[in-house]
Amino acid sequence: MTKFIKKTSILLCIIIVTLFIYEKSYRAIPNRYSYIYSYLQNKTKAKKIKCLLLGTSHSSYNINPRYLSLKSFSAACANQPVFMDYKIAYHFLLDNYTLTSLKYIVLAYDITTLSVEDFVSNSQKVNYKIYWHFDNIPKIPFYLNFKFYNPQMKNYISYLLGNYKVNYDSSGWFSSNFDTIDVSKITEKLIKKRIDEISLSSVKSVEELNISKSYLFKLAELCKKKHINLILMNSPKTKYFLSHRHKDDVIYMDSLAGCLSIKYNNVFYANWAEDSVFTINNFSDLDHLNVSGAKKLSYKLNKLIEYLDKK
Amino acid sequence: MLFNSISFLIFLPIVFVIYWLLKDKLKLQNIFVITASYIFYGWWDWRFLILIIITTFCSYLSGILLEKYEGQRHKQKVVSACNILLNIGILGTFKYFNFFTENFAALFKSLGMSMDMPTVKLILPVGISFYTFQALSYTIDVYQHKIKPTHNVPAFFAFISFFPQLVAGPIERATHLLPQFLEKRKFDYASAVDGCRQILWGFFKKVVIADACALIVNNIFCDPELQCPLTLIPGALLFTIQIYCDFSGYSDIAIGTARLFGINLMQNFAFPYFSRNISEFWRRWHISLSTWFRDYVYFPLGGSRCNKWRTLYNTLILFTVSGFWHGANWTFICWGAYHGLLFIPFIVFGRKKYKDVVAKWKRLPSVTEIFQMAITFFFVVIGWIMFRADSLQQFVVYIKNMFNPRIINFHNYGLTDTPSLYVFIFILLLTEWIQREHQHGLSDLNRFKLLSKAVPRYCLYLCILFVIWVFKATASDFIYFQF
Repeated sequence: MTKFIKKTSILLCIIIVTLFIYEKSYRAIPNRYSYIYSYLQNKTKAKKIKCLLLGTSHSSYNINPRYLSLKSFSAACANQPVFMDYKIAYHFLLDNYTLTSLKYIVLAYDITTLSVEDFVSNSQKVNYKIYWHFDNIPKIPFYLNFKFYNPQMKNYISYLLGNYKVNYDSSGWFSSNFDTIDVSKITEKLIKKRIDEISLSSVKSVEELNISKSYLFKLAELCKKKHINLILMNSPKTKYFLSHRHKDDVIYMDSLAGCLSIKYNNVFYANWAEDSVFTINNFSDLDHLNVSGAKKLSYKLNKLIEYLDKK
Repeated sequence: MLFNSISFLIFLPIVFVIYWLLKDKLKLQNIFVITASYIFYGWWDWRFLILIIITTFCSYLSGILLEKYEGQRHKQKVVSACNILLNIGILGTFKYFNFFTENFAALFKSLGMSMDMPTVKLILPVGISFYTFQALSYTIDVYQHKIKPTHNVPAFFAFISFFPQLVAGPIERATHLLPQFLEKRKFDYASAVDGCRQILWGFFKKVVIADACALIVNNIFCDPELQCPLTLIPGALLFTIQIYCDFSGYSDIAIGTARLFGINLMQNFAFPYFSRNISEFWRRWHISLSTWFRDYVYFPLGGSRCNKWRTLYNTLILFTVSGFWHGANWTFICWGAYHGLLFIPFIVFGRKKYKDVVAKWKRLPSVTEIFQMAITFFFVVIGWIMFRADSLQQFVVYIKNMFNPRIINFHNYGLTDTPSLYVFIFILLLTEWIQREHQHGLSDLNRFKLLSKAVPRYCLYLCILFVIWVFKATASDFIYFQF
């Protein structure tokens, strides 16, 4: 028995030391989360930002801050729900006031925005916790506080070999190249699956939806307090997506946006979901733009901001 | 509690240490086994513990009563029949009630009569078929005087609820497992080390291969109508690998874990895909269930010691019941019947009973053996498509499209996303081929010159752990939990 415990302990020690080394060194690899946080924490850099992009992949992929005339920065991340957007805004506008010149917040606005915390993957929650130091991220099992639980060896090895490339540019834009959508691969099931993923029916309960809604109102309130305009941006979707989306979802989101813009005069709703300027060649999948599409949408957003600025 | 969960990783060492601290107190040790097993099982839903307690208690009581009525065969018959009915009743209610009501309703509807049949929303308790069958075997064995009934309550409860094999087998016989709980266990270093290796191999199969296959297979089986053979053939092959790795992986972890506690469980898989005919396949696949049905269904029906027609009938009954055991769906029943039909040539023309593994003492099989294995494998794969399909209609569509090269509508479905998976499947098959005369993929490593020394052996363990760590796919439940 002693021999067994001794030998098992040796093996266990080797494993623990390996995991510890991995954890330490992996956390040092630059990534989108650490970059955004350090950028916004940096007072000199943050005070120049006039327009901050928040929300989901519909913002982080679809808007390239470089095409906006105002100094802009993207703090949007895939699947980032409004309760996280509010936390970010609150942190850099109140707790640690670095965004002193901020005039606009552009929030990707669709059902995903109202997603509840379950929608955020655990690995993403860990990123918020580790790199953004947000302690009150709910519902993470203890073991998920470590990066080694979901090892990404490919990244790690390329980092060790010096070949690691980050997937964001200095303005925070998710700069990975997206291929144009392959229409021949679009099936009815694929469209339905995607629609269901991001429809109101994916939200667990009315209570949870109301919590998400309350964060949206809180964000609008915070923006008003800080004299910031909040642009709710419904980004373009393919005709396949539009023809299948649930009517109830559209009515719900449009009326909610209407409600917000009536209640707060600093809230503007830009609904470009059905904009015919965007052709199928501008999309990378059913509801995300590719590089050329992102350029088009960014110019469109820029025009709106310029218009609001003059107003 | 899932084997492939963090909670089990914490649970196992704690139970291991306390268990061996109680090594001199057999009764306490058995009580501790029951407690640990109930915690393990109650982790899913504590309410299901009531069922397992009822099953165990009734089986224990029936043993005592059978002993009491020794010499009064009629009373003994009543006692064992009551216990069998009770156990089958619980199983039937939770597993088959809705299946029967729905099918009766459909039958009446087809006859032009509409009937409102009651349906109940019942959650299927995990592993109910496994522990029910284990409990049944005790009563039947006592009735048949194969074993003496026990009066030792903790030992009996530990025998039924022993956590490593509680939810997905191997389905142990009282004659084999119960005596082990009646005697003091000794810690055997060699056995414990081999147990650890078997656990490691089981995790490799489940976490690296089965879970990764599941991601692709689920996508392909979701949409077979639109697919072409280029997608459907790999889908069927991957499911064949998935179900083997999933279930035999579980069995390896269960057997290995039991060995850490000084308990020997029976071998459940003996490299079934290296079988030369379907009969050999069934002697190597889910051995504990096959032998259970053989001993308690097939033999009482007369087995093969009767005329050919009767043997054929018995075989079909055996496999259809075995299919139905897997679940309340026509796909399982047909899958069972299909395997029964595959036995027809052996019953009509006689069969060659292979006692040894294929190519024993040789490195490679002969051309004939390769041909035999390929044919057997082909029929097994067809069976697995039926097993995996949601309905018989889906199975028909799948088979139709699989052999229809005209439909060219290739969808990747992740087939080429993880090339490492195919490397690991190759490693698995190669390792199991080399180890086919042994219990599992990592047994008896000392016979390899390189691995006879500690350092390379440890490096191998670390290497496998590394692969599990890095290439683990999204965790999914064990397929056989639903049965």
